Parts: sequence; structure tokens; C-alpha cells
Amino acid sequence: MSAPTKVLRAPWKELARQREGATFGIWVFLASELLFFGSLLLLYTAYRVANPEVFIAAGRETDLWYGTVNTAALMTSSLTMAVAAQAAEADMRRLTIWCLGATVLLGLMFLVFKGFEYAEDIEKNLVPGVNFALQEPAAQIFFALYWIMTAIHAIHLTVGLGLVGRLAIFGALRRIQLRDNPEVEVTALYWHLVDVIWIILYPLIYLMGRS
Amino acid sequence: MSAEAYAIWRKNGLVWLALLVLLGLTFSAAHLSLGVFNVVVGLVIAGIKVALVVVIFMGLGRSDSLIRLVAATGVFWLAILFVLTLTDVIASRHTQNPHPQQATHQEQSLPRNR
Repeated sequence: MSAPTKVLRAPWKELARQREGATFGIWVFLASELLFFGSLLLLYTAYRVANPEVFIAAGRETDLWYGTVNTAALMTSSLTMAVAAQAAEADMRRLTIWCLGATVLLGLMFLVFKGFEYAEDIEKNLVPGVNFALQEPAAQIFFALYWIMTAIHAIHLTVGLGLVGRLAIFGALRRIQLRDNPEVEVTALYWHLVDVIWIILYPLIYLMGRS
Repeated sequence: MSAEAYAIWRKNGLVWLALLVLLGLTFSAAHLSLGVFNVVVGLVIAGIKVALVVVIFMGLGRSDSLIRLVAATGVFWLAILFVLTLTDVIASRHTQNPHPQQATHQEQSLPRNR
């Protein structure tokens, strides 16, 4: 356990302690992220309580197919990320790097679909403002929240792509050691949180007014 | 594939299959006319999916108690945020508006801010 390795950093004297500290730190960060997205979800909930029918009618204007395919893509990326993290623990370097690469590709796929979806939304005048497509004023509130929540989620995902891509490239170049490296677990936990946020957003944005 | 790699794929693959089945379920349920239960079903299935990701993919199920405490704290503060705010929002809809104003235009802002 206390064997010195390349991943050990000051002030830690042993790797087990460093890993505990890193995992604890990222969970505290993820709890604060939960509150950050939670406040946006609370705003959504409060406005939806005030305008139930309008929110359902506005939700119908979102693109269900892009939303569903992206949910499946992110859940699959969580699978490859979980496999990468556990393969790193088990010292399976090739599997780790392949799975990190697959995670990056699935994340990029998500962003590309999101881009097509945004383009479609802009074409349908679903950006709140003067030329907004829907009559009801509260529909603009729904779409303001839609843009803010999905854009902030996409920014988080982009940060995650950088982190995962860094591990994949530096791992493949042997610039960093993947086995026992707390960075792998921390990155994996962050990536899963981005997936968790999307799982919560999916029914609130895309599944309304479909019956 | 080594036995170890097979074990990793099998364990996580089963969770992934469950997630995809749940996605199919929530997608189909959204097309049924359930009234207010549409959103209930959607959120319950989302909750099960989140639990699968958090407990198995994120490893909370095998984490030590300090990590579980941090996760629980996040949820606890979120619950305070939601309960206290929504108590006010929902109560002021169901009781008389404490700040009565003309309600000529269609409701768009929160009742308290009108």
C-alpha cells in the first residue's frame, strides 16, 4: 500500500491517503454541483407549478428524438467510463485507454447532436425574445430555462471531455500512469455526475406533453 | 478477453442494459395519457436511473461512510432548498394571494412576485 509511485503528490505520504483525499474532495465538489443544478431545477419547478399547462405545451416543441438518443449516448459513455476506471484499478492499461477514448467519442457525439438540435430550435424561433414562436409568455420562461440548463450542462460536458481526453492521450503516450492514479477516479466521478444531471433533465425537458 | 475484463464488462454492462430498458420504459410511458402521473412516472424512473449510476458506476455502494455522508449532505441541503421554497410557492397558490393585484393578463410570473 505504501509503496512510492509516480502518482504520489505532496503533501501525501502514502497513496491510499491521497486517494481518500481526492475522492472526498471530488464528492464535496459534486455535492456543490448538485446544489448548483438544483437551484435551476427549483426555478423550473416553481415556474411549472405556476404555469402547468403552458410548460407542457412548450415542452412538446422540444425535439424528443435528439433528447432520447443523447440520453442513450451519455448513459453508454458512463458505461465506458466506469469500465475504464475499474480497468485502471485492475492494471489493464489497453482496456482503460480504449474505454477512455470511447467515452470521449460518445461525449463528442452528444455535443454534435446537441448542436443539430440547437440549430433546429433556432430555426423554429424557440429562442426567447421578440420573434419567439409561441404565444404564451410563460413558454418563454420554459425555453429560457431550457437554453440555460442545457447550455450549462454542455459546458460541464465539454470540461469533462477535456479531462477524459487528457487521461486517454497522456495515458497512451505513457506520460502519466493510469494504475492507482486518483485522477482517473476523480475524472470518472465528474463524468458520471454530468450523466446524472442529464438523466434528471431528460423527463423534465423532453417527455412532456407527448401523450 | 481475460476473465477479469469479462467480469468488469459483465457487471457494468448489466447496469447499462437496465439503464437502456428504463429509458425505453420512460419514453413509452410519456406517450400514455396519465395526466399528472406522466411527470411522476418520468421522475421516478429518472430516480431509479440516477440511483443505478450513483450506487454502481460511481461506486457509492462500496464507498466508506465519509463519502456517503458527503453525498447525503448534498441531497439534504437540496431537500431544504426545495421544501422551504416550494412551501411558499405552493401555499401562496392555494391560499389567498397575500399581495392581491389585478390578474388581467395570463399568469406568467410567480404568484408572490406578481
